[in-house]
Amino acid sequence: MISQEWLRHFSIAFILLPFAVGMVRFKYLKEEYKLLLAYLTASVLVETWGEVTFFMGSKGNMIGYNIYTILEVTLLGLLYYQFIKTQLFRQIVLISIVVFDLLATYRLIADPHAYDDLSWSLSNALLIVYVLLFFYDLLKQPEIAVLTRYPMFWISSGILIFFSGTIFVFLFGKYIISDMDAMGDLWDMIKWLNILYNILLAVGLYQKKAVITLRPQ
Amino acid sequence: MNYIQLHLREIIIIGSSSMVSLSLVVIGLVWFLHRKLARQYLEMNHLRG
Repeated sequence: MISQEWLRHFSIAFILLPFAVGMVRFKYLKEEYKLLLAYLTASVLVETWGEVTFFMGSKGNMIGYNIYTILEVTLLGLLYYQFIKTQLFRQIVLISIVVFDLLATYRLIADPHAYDDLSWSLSNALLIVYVLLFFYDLLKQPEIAVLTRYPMFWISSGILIFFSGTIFVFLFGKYIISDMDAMGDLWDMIKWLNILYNILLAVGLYQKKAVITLRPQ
Repeated sequence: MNYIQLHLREIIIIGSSSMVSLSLVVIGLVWFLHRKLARQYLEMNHLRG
């Protein structure tokens, strides 16, 4: 097995880290974070299926990843819908989820086994926007005393770094796939960022208290 | 071969690293500004008390 393949499996295995932390802390987590756990469960399932089809030598697993992209935007979008307090931002998030789901589902039905570069890169762009809206909203909540102990800060940091770092790879994914010998190493960027992403999600889910609030005297 | 295909590697590497750097700047800025705001909020409430 070549090093690129080892890195692929190693990176995929990291999804188990936030999933395990989330499961261990399940009963202590606030209701809102259970959407993140649903997303992590979908990630574990789709990656397991991807690994099984990979080892069976099947190349037709793109349909799973295309469905996963829809789930990703829906579940993470709803997570932000619950945490964002500004009404206008909440509406933007909700409407964009519905529009994206319709568009991605239409493209999925039209060609389920194709690499859907439009949906994949659009999902990245949407999640970057959700994080930026959330961060702007967060600056209006000074009652959260210690940001580094606030789970959504770590989770959002992970999402922002991963989805902004991979948007160019997904945008030009068709070119990369058509010339994997020369440009396949560019795909490695996703694997390294995925490891960092999962570590940050695990750190977020590990935080003992959902929110440390300042008590006015 | 069009322009994008010729310079694809550079576009992806420069684009991705710029985006990651920008993200780190945003995260740092949010952390810094929020810390400042939280301190002001705490001081204000202490004064009121």
